Amino acid sequence: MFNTIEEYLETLKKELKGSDKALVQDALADTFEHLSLAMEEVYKKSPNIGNSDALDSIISEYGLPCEIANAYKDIKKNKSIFMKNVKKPINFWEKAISAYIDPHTWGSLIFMFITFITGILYFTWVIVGAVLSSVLMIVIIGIPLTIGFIVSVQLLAFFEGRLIEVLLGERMPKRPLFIKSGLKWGARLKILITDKHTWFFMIYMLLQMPLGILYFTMNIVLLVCSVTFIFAPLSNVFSIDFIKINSMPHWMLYLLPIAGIIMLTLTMNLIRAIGWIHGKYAKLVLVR
Amino acid sequence: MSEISAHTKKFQKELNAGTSSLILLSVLNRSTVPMYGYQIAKILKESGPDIPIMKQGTLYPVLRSLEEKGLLESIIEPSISGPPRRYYKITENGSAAVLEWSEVWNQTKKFVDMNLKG
Repeated sequence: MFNTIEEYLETLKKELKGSDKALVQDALADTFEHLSLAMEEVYKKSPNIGNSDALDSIISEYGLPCEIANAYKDIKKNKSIFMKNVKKPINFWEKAISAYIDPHTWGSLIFMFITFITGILYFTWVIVGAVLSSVLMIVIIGIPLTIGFIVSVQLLAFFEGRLIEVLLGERMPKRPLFIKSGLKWGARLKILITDKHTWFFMIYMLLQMPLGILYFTMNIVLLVCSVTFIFAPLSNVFSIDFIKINSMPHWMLYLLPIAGIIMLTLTMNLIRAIGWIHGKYAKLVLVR
Repeated sequence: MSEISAHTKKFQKELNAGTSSLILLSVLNRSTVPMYGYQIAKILKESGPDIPIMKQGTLYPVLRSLEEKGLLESIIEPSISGPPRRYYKITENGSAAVLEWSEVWNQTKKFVDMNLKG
């Protein structure tokens, strides 16, 4: 019925059409791993067996694409450990206040601070790698170096995906991309360079630096301002002059905590929203 | 396919939904080293070569689901001869689950057997 593993994978992909992209990739990766190993073993036992005969015997035990697709569809929608048992808020106010206890918010906040560091590292890595690879391309060492650099970018993209899944709760692929073994350096390089996702990964990594700086600055400014406003009346108690606004009536100092609480609530909601948007954006760029 | 065999197939599928988790956990609980999906599938095949209870491909989503629940953990290791392999190993929670679930299974089996015998 199937002549190659690729044909089987194509059919499986069709059966999974409309499912979560990451789930499709998990299913294809698991299937590819199993069928490749099984084929290897069948060929060891019977070297003269035909491709389709070998596959037929393997698939009879592994299952048809429709059976496998149904098995994956049956898995409950995967959520990060952080995201389980979160009660859905019902009205606007509950929804706004829920940002304080919603693990999405805290996951997103941690992710944004981490992005400040990873953004700089990714940016430096991509710039240095791209420059070195292009300059050394004229000598023979350039080809393996470029392959190494592109593979490292894919591994970093995989790492970023894991980070996003754990902290932002967005499903991402669970294994690095794979290139058939036994190919020559030139052929490997061609596959990697002509793969549009290689370029998507690099653009994503370059953009992480400005985004990381933006997230970091925004969070620090908004959180510090909010907390300062909330505790403003204490400055009177302890005679601290750190909030001294000339011409501000004394009683207004006691209104600042309300402004601070509103600001903090808006900030927490903003953090949650940015985390959600970043998760969707990353999935679009990092998942095949 | 006749109606009876379709019902039987559905019944088998429903049974597998619960038992496959227990089977996979117990295989990994016995193993001293992490194992990848194909190895587990082979062990299961050897344990019951003439019992075509579940398709090997349906084990993989169960492994992923068990990992999501924190009962298994996995690492991906590159392979020289083929695609990267995902190695699974059981967690402490997973080992505890095997004990509890085995007890539940034994009770269920006893109850079903008693009623089948009448």
